[in-house]
Amino acid sequence: MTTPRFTINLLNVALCTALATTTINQAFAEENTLNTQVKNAASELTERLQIIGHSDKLRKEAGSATFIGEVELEKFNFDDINRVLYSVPGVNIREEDGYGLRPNIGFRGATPERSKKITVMEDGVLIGPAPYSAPAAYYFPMMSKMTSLEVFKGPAAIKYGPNTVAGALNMTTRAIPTDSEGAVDFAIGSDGFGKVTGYYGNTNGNFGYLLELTHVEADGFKELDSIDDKSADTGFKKNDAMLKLQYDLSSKNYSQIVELKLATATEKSNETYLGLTDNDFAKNPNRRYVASQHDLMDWDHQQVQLTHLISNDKFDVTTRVYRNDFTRSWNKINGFKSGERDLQEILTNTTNELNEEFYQVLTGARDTQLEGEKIILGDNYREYYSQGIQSELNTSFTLFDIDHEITTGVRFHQDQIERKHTEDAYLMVSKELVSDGSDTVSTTTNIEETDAFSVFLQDTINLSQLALTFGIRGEYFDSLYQNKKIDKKADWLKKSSHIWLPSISGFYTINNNAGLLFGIHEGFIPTSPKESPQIDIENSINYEVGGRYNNGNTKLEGIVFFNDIKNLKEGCSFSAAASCGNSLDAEFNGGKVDVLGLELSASHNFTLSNHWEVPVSMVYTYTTSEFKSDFISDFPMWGAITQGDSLPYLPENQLTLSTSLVGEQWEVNTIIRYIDEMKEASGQGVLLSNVTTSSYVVVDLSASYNFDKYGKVYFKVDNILDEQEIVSRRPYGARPSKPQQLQLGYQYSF
Amino acid sequence: MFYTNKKLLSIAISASLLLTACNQEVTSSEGEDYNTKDNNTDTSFNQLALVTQLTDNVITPTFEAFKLEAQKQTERIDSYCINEHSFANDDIDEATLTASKASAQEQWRNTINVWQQAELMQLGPLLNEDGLLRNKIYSWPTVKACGIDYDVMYFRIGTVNGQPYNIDLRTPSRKGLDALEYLLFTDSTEHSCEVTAPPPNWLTLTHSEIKTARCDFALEVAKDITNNADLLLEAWNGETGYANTLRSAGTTNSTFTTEHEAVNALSDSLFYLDSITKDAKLATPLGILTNPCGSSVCVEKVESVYAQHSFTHIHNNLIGFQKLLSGDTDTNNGLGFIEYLIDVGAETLATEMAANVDKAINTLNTLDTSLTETLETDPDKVEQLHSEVKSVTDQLKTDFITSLALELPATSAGDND
Repeated sequence: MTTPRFTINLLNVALCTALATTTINQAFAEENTLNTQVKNAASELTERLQIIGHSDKLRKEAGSATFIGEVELEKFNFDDINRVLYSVPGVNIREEDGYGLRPNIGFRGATPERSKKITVMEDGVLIGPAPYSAPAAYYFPMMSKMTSLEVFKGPAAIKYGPNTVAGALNMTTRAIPTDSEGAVDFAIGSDGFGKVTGYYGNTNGNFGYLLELTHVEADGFKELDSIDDKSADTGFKKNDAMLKLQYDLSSKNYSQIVELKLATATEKSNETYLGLTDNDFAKNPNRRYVASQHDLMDWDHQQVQLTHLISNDKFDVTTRVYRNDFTRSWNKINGFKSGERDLQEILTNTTNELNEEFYQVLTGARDTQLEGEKIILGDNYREYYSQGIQSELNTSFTLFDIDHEITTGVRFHQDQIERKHTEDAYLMVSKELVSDGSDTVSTTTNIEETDAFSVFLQDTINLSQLALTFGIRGEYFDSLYQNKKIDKKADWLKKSSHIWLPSISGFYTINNNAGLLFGIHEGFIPTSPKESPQIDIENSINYEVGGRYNNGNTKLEGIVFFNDIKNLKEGCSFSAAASCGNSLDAEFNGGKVDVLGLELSASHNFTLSNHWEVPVSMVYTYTTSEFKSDFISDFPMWGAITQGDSLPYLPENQLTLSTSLVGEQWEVNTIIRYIDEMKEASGQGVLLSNVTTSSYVVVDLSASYNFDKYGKVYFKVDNILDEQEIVSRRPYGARPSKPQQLQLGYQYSF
Repeated sequence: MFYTNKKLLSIAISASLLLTACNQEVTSSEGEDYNTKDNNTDTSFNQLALVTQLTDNVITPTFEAFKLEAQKQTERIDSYCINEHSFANDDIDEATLTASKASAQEQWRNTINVWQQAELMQLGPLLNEDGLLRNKIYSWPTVKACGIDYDVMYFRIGTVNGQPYNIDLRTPSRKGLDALEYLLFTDSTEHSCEVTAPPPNWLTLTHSEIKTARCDFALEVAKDITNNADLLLEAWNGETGYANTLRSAGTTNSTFTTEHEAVNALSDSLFYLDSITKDAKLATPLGILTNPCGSSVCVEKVESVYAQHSFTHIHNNLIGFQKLLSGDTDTNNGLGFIEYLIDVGAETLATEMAANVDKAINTLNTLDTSLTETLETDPDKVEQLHSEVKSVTDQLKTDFITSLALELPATSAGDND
């Protein structure tokens, strides 16, 4: 099949549109803003980087959006994004390593696998390594340096593509301070945890700058079997450096600012996909088999981002140019050379005596004796880049006696993944992995790349107490898959796709404290460049209805959502199951699926007679899902599906309760979380059919005392009950939640 | 004002609905090697006829022949066991016992000779549940002699772990043709376990009691093999049997959406010759592949260590391969992979592969000592045999697969990522 390719030079279109938008609105603004006061451009920029307003008043935007600000984040100083997001309704998470190094986050039932069904952004820019071509987020920004976090679901997500089925997550880095400001933070903790962060920034006249450095490390809580019973390092070391430079170009009529952000980050983590048998987990959930002794993730990330903002009372335009480079090498156990049975099979059915022999090699109880018992370590080396330019305009005007608030934007984006996977064979000899001397074998060698042009327009009209927002998002993208093996040059696929996604939402203001909201939007998730055009995109119509109440001290929000997924799509990766090794990156159609849920959040601030504050909050999510047809799938999380089966890794009930006691110079905070059991597989006939993770309760505690000019001391205990449960049996075998971890820290601000 | 608002609203909602109705499109172009797994050969060769010939005239008769031999095996072992008990009671002489045991051993050889051909025909019911049915019939290379001795005693006692002994529930390595080989061809009455962990009651029994106990268990194992042969035929034949799934490939009654997929399933079974015959049965004991003897000659990894029937096993593997390749049987000449190769223009490959199989069979016919003995005295001959089998499997993995647009089985790809 040969059809014409999309021939418009997308970069030109994007640039022209961005510039035109700016020019038109400059002209428009010049005519209408003769007496405009210049705003503080820096604070305007901060607002644009954060997307949700966060005042104490009733939020009137339609659509579900959650904001977690710096004050909230500082209560627990979480370094793990998973722990932060448990306080957001409608989020489903599959934990993996306990530290949140490679999170699996889904919203409203979207499969959490490597967060690939949500749109992840940093400072409003796509931050996944290759969000279109390979959306699995193997790079995730360091939570420690974030000052706020926003989650958008429902029609609110239409502004942020490409993945609009579930929603978007935006994390905001520290803004350049308007005056001299800095802080250092040192923390030590159990399992060799250590953290050092510091920043300093200032604005001198029109020039502002900020430098922030972060280092986090841990020895890890897993205990690797070894000959001398001395546990090796199973932890990680992460570094991040960020420099922001800003220049204020504001004139009498316009606030205008440019900001350059440069960032670099590294991670070396002794992480593995290898888990435990259920029996071994029951004896010691933190054990790690000796076959994972060489497993190491080593990545490197660079980021350049140039942002320009121009605004006055009538409009603002934010334009960003960005480039992210990411390289990763993950050398880890893939399986046995025989290939007859994968690691998940071996660890699931240990009573099978064939599996038992392989299990003995994994644990080092027996040396490799046969060719098929050689252990295969695969280095999945990948290089990614993601670059683009995007521009967003906010303005308002009156037409036909109706007030319009317009938000519109364009983006031209390019990304690429280049895979250079190799494998090496090892012998297990006296609990040590020893190379068998054979040559390194090249396995997957290919590239996938996408050029994407996207536009969105949202128009909010105010009809008395009802504010209606109409939205539309268009995505046009050309993708290329090319096998890079010398003899496979003719193995390529080019695709051109486009889709238009409408949305409508509304907010009805009952009074100053209460309102009702509703929304309908169409969502989609693109297929990978390699995937056959015969594989349908994931496409859904999403509905939500609810209400908000906010009297300044008490906040309530309740939203019922219904996702009518026309075709659920999943992809096979090593992190999904060992059996995916034979169909890596293959995608599967799951047909129609309904997801129905309820999101409730409530908070209230009590003040005691001695003026101590007692803020309390509750977040509850109920989610139910069902496949609407019978089918048999090779996808290891599905199997033979019967109509009515529910989705994997989607807890029915999740509840988070948090409370604090805040004095003048001190505070104590607790969070109690309940997460229901989750299915490891939806249907029958696959390895983890009828197996669930355990439901569990986690209690975290933190306390701090502020010595004013001498800084602040904080202490926290994650998982104070020190109970560990199986949070997942993927990729290969049972994996624990994080055990109790103590942390003592000191912050000094200047 | 109100009218204008309503009008605007209805236009916006209508536009949204229109966009939802026809809002996406994908166009594509692809290289000729893209997604080759969906390719097919572009000749008019009747692939369904090939599938039907191999199913009806090669595989089904092999499974049926195995059942007949298994039944005879049970009868012969039953006779031998009666004699073992009679001999224990001094009712018959040793020559009668020896003759009946030899008859039982001979029938074991006849039975496994057929099974070694069926090993090349592992499809459908023999692959389900991780090859459970195949392993129940023959679990090599997983054979646990000590475990068999344990079950000899459990069967004699009648209970295991507090439950009545039920061979159907026992692990495959303690039963099947491999366990039967151990039971019929081991003269010693010593158990095969660590000295510190003898099977229960073993040490309290006399030599005669151990022999009758092993014999009684051998009969139970033989009955279990017959039972599993029945189960195999049930799952193979019949309206919903796997043979019908193969024969109806390309229709809605089959899990094979195309005839070519069924051909691919049959070609997958040929790869036994590569991973098991070549690698496990020859390269591993030769030390070409890793073995417990430090990658030198290792007779303990030979397949048939008790009956010393290894070369015949390999011979029958090659016969099974040959039948699938040619589609010919003793009584029927039909379509096989050879004809398919000729049809796609790979006549030279077809001729060479058939000749290479013949060559390996001829080499086997010249060997008059066991594999164990040949490994110890003249390993070059075994290396030659390995090399000849390899010449067949090398062609299988490359030119054969490419010519017929087939996929390698996942375990043979070697570069799965």
